[in-house]
Amino acid sequence: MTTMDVNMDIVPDGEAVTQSQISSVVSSAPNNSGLMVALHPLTLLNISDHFTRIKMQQQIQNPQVIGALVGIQTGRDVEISNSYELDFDTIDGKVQINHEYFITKQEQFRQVFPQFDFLGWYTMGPYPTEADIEIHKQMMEFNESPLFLQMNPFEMVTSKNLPITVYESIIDIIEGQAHTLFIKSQYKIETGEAERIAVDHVAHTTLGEGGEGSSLIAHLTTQRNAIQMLHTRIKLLHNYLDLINSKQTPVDHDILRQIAGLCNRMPTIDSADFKQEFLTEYNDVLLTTYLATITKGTNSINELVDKFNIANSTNRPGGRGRHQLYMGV
Amino acid sequence: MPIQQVGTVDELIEALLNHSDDRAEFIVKHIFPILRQLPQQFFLQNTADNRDPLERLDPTHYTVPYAYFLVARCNVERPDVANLLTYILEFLRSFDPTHIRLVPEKFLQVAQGLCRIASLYGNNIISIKPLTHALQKYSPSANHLTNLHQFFIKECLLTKCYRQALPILDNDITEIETTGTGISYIDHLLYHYYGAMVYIGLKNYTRALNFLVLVISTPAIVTSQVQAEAYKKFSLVSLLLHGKIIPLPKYTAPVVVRSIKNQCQAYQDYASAFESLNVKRLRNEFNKCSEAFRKDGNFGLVKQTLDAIYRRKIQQLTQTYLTLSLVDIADAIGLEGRDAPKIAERYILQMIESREIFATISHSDQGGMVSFHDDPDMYNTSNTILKLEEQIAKATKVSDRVIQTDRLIGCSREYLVKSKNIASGGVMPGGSHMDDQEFFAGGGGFDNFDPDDSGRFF
Repeated sequence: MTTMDVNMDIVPDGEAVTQSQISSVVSSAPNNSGLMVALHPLTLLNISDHFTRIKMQQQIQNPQVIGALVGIQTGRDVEISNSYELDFDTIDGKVQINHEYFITKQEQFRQVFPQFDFLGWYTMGPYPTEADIEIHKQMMEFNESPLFLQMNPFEMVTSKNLPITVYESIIDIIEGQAHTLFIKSQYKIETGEAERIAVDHVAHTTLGEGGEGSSLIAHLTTQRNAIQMLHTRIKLLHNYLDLINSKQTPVDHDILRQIAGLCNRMPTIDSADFKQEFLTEYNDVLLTTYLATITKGTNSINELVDKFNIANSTNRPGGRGRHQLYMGV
Repeated sequence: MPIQQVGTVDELIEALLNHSDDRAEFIVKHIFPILRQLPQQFFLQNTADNRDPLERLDPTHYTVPYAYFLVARCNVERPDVANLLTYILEFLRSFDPTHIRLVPEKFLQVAQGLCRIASLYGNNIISIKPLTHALQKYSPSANHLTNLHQFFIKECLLTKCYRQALPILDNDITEIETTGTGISYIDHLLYHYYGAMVYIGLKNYTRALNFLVLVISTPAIVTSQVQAEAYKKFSLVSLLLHGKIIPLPKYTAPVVVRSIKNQCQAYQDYASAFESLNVKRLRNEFNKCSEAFRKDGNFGLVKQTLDAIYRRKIQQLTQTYLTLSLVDIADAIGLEGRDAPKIAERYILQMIESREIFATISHSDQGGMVSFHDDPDMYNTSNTILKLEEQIAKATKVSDRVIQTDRLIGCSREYLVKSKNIASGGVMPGGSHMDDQEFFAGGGGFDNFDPDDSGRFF
């Protein structure tokens, strides 16, 4: 096994640089341990919450958070179900995990969830560093080969992948010395039914922020985002075709065939029938909007008249207010 | 500071040129006292070297004194028409609005002077366009009412330049400010009354009706004659538009309602005759009251109603019959004479063109047959989209305006005082039908509430 070199070749089409290229503690050897990691959304929510909470409470841009992962491991199948925070002290620049706290917490967890084991730990960051190796060695006291989960809180969440990477540890012989290195591991997200509902709910609340969370607004925002994404993708295809046209890119017939297939599959939206129905529905929606505007306006006028009546009424009791300039409605 | 005494026009001009500060407070403090104590005769004089002081003064910087001079010269028995006209037009083109709003009554006099000069010159119409521009410059915004508005519209009526008045009339009056505009109650009534007459002249009956209702339902303690006249026109326009007199708003002053009953009895009889759609009865009423109509200057409108009754009857027919021959139509609507079917056909053609009914006339058999259809407009074209979007924009604008006024009232002293009284156990005005929830939820003024007071309503 050759050791990893720091200066790896940059992938030619300029795609996002993956973490392992820069890190010196991640092995580039292929992962053939056969470990299948299933990650529950609860874990991710916990980690994200932990980080956000610390960040808000201590007002630091990038605080260091460390926590433990628990779950079930049966043979080569690992299922990470839950996580909790860990306490640590920074002594001489090195991170020391608070052992007593960890053991207490583990005992408590064991009482509630007897089947869950300590499987690994997590922290935040773009890529693993030497410091993480140190912490990893501390963790190895409790589990011979713990997993290391790293979440990048500042990565753009535009791609389909989550900013999560799971690493296993291997012992590598470099120049006669045994080093612990990380190796990237495959993981998939596994969702129980209850988790599905919770995640859905959280996702919708974040969309409806800044208001009472009107479901109509959330719905429209989702639609808008979807249309925006569709638009960016179509633009991408369009750019590609332009480049081919101006002969800047070699022609790839396979892609061209796929694009042609896509165009053929689009519905015929040029027919007169479609226009008719579309216009009718459009006008119906406009009419409803108009009605809503008028209703809101009428409501404001009502309030205005009430205030006017009060402001101009006399102080005499009873219904004598009618004698004055009464703007009855 | 002692008021500077000026004896001759030259001294005045010197004084003005010395004080060349443009700010309004300065003008009020220094220039006004000088100008006010000078008699009218003073402004008729020329300078020492027999030149017109108007030549030396620049209307933009010395708007107020210029106006004084102009007014004095316009009111002479035999003014120097040609020169004066140029001066006035120059003034109206380049005056400073903030200055002139300090003396609104003078501005009105300038406008009146202009019209008098124009009539002496022989051509009234030349005053209209400059006045339009001047008015737009003069009023603080397009929606403000000024003392010049009613005068301007009257001029347009007298010179029959109806269309020129439209840019001014089309803006609804939503702001009333007495400081810079010198308006009074009668200005509001007259402006809308004249405006309605302009719209009637242009056959825009809907908007005319709006204006007339505004006049009639203005809050009043004593009825104004303008309101009575407005009601007469209102009844006729209402007949043309709706076939009956639409009920007046609930907030019309009771005095006005009573005066209307007393003064406009003839019109109400006429209207009930029209409503019955009985042509003979209408003609009777018409003959009875034609003198009264003529005296009120409403004769033209009444003649139009005679026409309109046939149209209404045709519209009624569309609801009963699918097809009808021209002869039958002529009979049904009460036309008589040999030419009756032809006249009926003419009416129907007009109505089809103006989209009041939807029908086809076929002459295939002897005598024409008319078949009526439903409204073929499915409202599913891009036309409708445009119209709807326009309406939505208008509604939003009005709604915003209402919310603004709502907030203003909510912060006003009277409202806060009264609502405080209510909260501390006073009696609610406006009757016992109040919906408590609605009331207390709606008040924006409660934001400024005194927190010491009982918060039990929240």
